[in-house]
Amino acid sequence: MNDWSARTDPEFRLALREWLSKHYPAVRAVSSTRPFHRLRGQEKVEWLQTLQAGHWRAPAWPRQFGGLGLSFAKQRIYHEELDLRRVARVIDFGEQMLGPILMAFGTMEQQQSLLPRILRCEDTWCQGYSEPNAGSDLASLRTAAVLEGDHFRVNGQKIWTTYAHDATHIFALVRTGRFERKQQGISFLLMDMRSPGIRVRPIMNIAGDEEYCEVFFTDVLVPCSNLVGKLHEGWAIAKTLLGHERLWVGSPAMCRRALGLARQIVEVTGANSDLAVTDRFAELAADLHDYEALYEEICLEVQQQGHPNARAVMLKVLATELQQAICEFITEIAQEQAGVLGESAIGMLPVDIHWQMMMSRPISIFGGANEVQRDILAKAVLNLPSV
Amino acid sequence: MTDPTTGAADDTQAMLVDSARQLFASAHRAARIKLNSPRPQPFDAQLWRQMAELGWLSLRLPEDLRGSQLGLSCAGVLAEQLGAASVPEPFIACGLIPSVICARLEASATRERLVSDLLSGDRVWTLAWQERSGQLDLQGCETYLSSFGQRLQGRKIFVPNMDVAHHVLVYAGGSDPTLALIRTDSPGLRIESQQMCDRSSRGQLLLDAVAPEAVLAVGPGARELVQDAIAEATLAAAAYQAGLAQSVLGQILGHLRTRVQFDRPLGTFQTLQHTAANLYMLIQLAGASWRRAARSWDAEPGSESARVAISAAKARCAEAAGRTARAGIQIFGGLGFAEEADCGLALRLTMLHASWLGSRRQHLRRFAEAPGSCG
Repeated sequence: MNDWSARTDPEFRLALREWLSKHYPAVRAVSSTRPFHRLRGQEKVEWLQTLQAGHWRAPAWPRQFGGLGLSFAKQRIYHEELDLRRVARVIDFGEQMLGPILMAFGTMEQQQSLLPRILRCEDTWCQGYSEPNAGSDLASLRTAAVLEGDHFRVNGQKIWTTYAHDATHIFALVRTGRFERKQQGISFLLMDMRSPGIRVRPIMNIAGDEEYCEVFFTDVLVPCSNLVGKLHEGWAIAKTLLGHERLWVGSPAMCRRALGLARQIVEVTGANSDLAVTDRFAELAADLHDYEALYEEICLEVQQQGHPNARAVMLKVLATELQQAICEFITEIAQEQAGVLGESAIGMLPVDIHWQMMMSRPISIFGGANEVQRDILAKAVLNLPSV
Repeated sequence: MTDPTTGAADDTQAMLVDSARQLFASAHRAARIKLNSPRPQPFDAQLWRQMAELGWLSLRLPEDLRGSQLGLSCAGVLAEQLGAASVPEPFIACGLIPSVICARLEASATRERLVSDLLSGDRVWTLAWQERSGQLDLQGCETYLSSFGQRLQGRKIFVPNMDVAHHVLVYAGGSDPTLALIRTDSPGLRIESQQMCDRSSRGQLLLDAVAPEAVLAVGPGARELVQDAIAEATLAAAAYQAGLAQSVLGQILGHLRTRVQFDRPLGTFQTLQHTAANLYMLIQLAGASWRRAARSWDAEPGSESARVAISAAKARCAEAAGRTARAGIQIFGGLGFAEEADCGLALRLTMLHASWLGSRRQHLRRFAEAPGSCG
């Protein structure tokens, strides 16, 4: 396997670009009807296996665990090239979330048995954090895991679990004890979705897709060896920000796609002679331009300090709200097409105004609602007092 | 890497920030330009000389003209500090603009006088270019230099700091663009002054057969160098407003941490935390935007992409300063509406810098009209 650290950044970029042009199926590229398309199910597994076979999987994982072990600069190039090639995004909780957690907190045995299976897509993971009464206030979670000899007995419910119906495994935060602070007594547990007592019910979202689910646990028996880290100390694991996910989540790529679509619609509708429309477009374009400048500054900071700082919190807020603003603009200028459910066309341009609007809504909710991000910013960066 | 607390990207810039903060802490009080000041003092000749001696007015002059040969990024860093301290001295209008022009003039006795004034701060130079409200570039300038007898004829508006200027550089358009120097006491020159928000005066100049003291540049080159000086000033005006915004946010945060109402610090109220977070994010965008534009200009002076980036920066920084100053007035409550507090002054300085050299709307339009600026 290639050791990319010995190669220059431009060489790396070129090699990836060349490989992508041969191996990424154009049919799966994002389109004007699905500008924020994400791969899932069998399509996703096939694409991840293609990456694995081509030695392009897991850019941030160290080489000792089978990843590419890329420097921060090369990780950035990696994500840029995928976006440029219009590769659909992939949510791979195994690679992006669980892998780094196991590397930091897992036992040697857990690392050796689970990490290779993630890379080969033999296990596909989902993340069981949110519950009906524990959303932004995640530490209020109640799904209980009671220690009984060499296993835990798990009862409770998770909700908004993305791709639970595609997953073979789930990593979950469960309540193992009650202490003074509700953040204590939470443990980080791995479960096989095929275990008796686990039931999954998909939930349709407002775009009409079944992407997330409810997961019910009834007397599910889980071996003690599936505990990650120490008993009662799972909160710290979940809160640890591993890798640079915060930066990739803040990538301006989705905003760029949305603005590109907006520009196409302005052109095909002839709205470019309407000053109100072009003025609003100008604002959004300048928003993106300035956001890219800020993103660049913060990436450079991270590159030189080696780790993301609290300032990076603002990236997710800014990027998601800009994407939403652009999608709202698209909806407005699409006029009556915005009332069409499903695909239609504006002039020769195929669009799905409903889908893009709906898919722009959850981005300010998932991964910590933007209100919570602002709370963090106020306290961690601006040093404002807590109650 | 940019230091998030100072905006400085390297040691030179960090030094500029330090010396600016020191000088303004000792030699400047914002009270001197407030409405409740019995004798407003928008121009302190001694402070101006100190700024000159520190090499700030000659920052953009090449070394062979005894300047520091620093980039626009450095001028921006300095302008940002002036804004942060609400300093009214005309660094942009009478330091940056004349030095950018001077750097490209051919050698002459006049150029030598300009260099020596930029180095000493003894005499103040200003530029008269604008003829219409909302003008962004030199297109359509009607003031001209008559070919018979070499007399200037026309009208210039919003000429900065006419109350303290000794020399006025006049841009004459037409088929043969010309940059000429006139004295403020020239026969045929009438000046009508308006007091501006920083208590300085901007003048309307009515030129009726005014004989120039010297002609400094002629032809397309004259137009280009004036245009570039305006572009650099636009960037500096953006940075000045980013500094204003940062300073007001600092005051807001201090108030939120200490002011107690309903038995708790104001800063514990989520709505105020989010207001502060929103202002912070906007100010970060403003800083990133003007720095990117300045870097782009330094890499490729005069390029279309740098001009477009300067437009984005001017629009963003105006938005950041205006919003932050208005929010400051609201958050400080009754005190915010009092001239004694500093928020009103910040809003006033923003109104001056946001409207000068192109409004937010104009710059956004110019940004969006440029090919390739919108992805």
